Amino acid sequence: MIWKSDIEQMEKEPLQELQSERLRSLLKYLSESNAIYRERLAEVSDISGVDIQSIDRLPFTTKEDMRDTYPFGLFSSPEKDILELHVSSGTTGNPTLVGYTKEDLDIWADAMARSLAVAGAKPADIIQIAYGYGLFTGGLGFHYGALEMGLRIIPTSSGQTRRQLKIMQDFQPRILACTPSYALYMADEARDLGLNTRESSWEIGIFGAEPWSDSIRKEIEEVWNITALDVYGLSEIIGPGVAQECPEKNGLHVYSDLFYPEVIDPDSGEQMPDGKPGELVLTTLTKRGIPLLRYRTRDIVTINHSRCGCGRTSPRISKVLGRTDDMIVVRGINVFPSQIEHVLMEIEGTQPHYQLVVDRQKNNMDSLEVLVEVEERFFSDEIKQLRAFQETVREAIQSTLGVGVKVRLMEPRSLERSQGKSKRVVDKRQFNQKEDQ
Amino acid sequence: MKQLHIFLENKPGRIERITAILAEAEINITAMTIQDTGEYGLFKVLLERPNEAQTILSEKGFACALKDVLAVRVADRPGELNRMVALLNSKGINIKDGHGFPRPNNESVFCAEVDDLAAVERVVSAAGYQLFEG
Repeated sequence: MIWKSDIEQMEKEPLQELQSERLRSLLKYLSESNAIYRERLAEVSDISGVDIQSIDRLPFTTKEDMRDTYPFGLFSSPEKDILELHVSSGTTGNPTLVGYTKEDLDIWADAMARSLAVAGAKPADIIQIAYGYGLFTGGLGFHYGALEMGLRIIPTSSGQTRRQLKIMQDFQPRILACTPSYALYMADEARDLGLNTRESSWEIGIFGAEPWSDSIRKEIEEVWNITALDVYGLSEIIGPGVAQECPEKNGLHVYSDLFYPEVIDPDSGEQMPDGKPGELVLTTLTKRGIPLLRYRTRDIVTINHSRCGCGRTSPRISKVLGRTDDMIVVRGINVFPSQIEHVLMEIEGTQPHYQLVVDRQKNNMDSLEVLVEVEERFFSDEIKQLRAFQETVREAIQSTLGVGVKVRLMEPRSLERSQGKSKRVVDKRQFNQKEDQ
Repeated sequence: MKQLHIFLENKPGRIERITAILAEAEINITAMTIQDTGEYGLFKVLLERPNEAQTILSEKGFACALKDVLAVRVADRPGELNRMVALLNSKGINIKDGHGFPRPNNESVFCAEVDDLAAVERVVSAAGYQLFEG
């Protein structure tokens, strides 16, 4: 089913009119309600003439803007109207805080209901929501959408794998929502228990919150005998529910009447044509609490404006092909190389060459290894001191990142360099393989 | 006595890179030992012209340091090592890492990393031992 067929199947011109109308009321709202945007928009000439086709005349909003104005600088609603807050892990600086008004929670529920329908859910289906509930937007986002659609919800949250499996067997949910790595982890656990995974009650899996490749899709579909679909979102925009893959498996539908997508060259800011990779930029056309204008997601995608085989006209984005910066997601936690640099600076007062190696272990959990070159200036002639250094680095990184790491000491100049700098991140998890693109 | 300590990852071919450089510079290695942790280790060498060796290896990108170690000449016969370590033990001196090698004329050299080397050297000299000078 198509949840909002009047909008999701709208022809281009009426859709653009709707988007332009919403954009103009957004600009008015921002100018009235937010000091930072008021200042920025004052510099835009002929602002009343801006429509959706000329959205590129408007300024960008960045992750740094959010951090710099933490906590409430980019909020446009009075604090008393913010009914729900979510916080995501940040670098050494401020975390990212997002807040939802009643209207925003309704938008979220609507977007997630559309996503569930895109994936093939229908009212009264049973859904097992194994995304974490809490500050992470995954669990609650799915929950609101499922309520909106009238699904029957089993809010298992993440973890307690054996109980997840027992619940699946006892209540026969048709839909599973969790991270792709957790779906694989559960399969390992199920095999250990002697279960036949192919007899699972799940028919549809909605997987997101971390990058995953088509080969992982095949693996999940094979082991659980389900259709595995990708969901895209980020808390700054709404959480999950920005875009959802349909069973055509040819891109993720963006609800462009709510979250207007552009794909740009991250350096020049120019619009990229369909099919060419660039940075995804999103404008929240209808949000009230913390509406964002041309938000730079730093996710690299391609966009496709053609009508989809499923009947929707909404534009589709590809799976995330990469990041404009080096951020990596390890076990659901954002890891920035700059955090590691910071820690090493703190310890040595100098920045050694280092490299992060992320890999996926046999149990499908991510591992993070930090390779640090032992340099002359902090070389110790005793193993005991080298070990102590290794342990100090490990503890400091672990407490900063909130994720377990292994530290490996390397010989000087042994790490791969490009243009004199060591390559910061090696991700061996095999995302974004050719087959994805 | 100066011993050169070189940081190495525990991978095939690493030691050869060092010995090749020293061979090229015609620096003779008197003795060596390897301390290993599994992932990495220290290659410790007593050699001629240690300062020059350190400079050359640093230039080639090795992390290395010169360490002053105790090097004592002991007689090469049963009980001599025991006598030496008993002396150190009686003075409360802890041996952090060590090795030894034989010399001509029934002599051996005992090498050890210790804290407060100068004091330790005084202890062994006072007990009649001669320090090995290379």
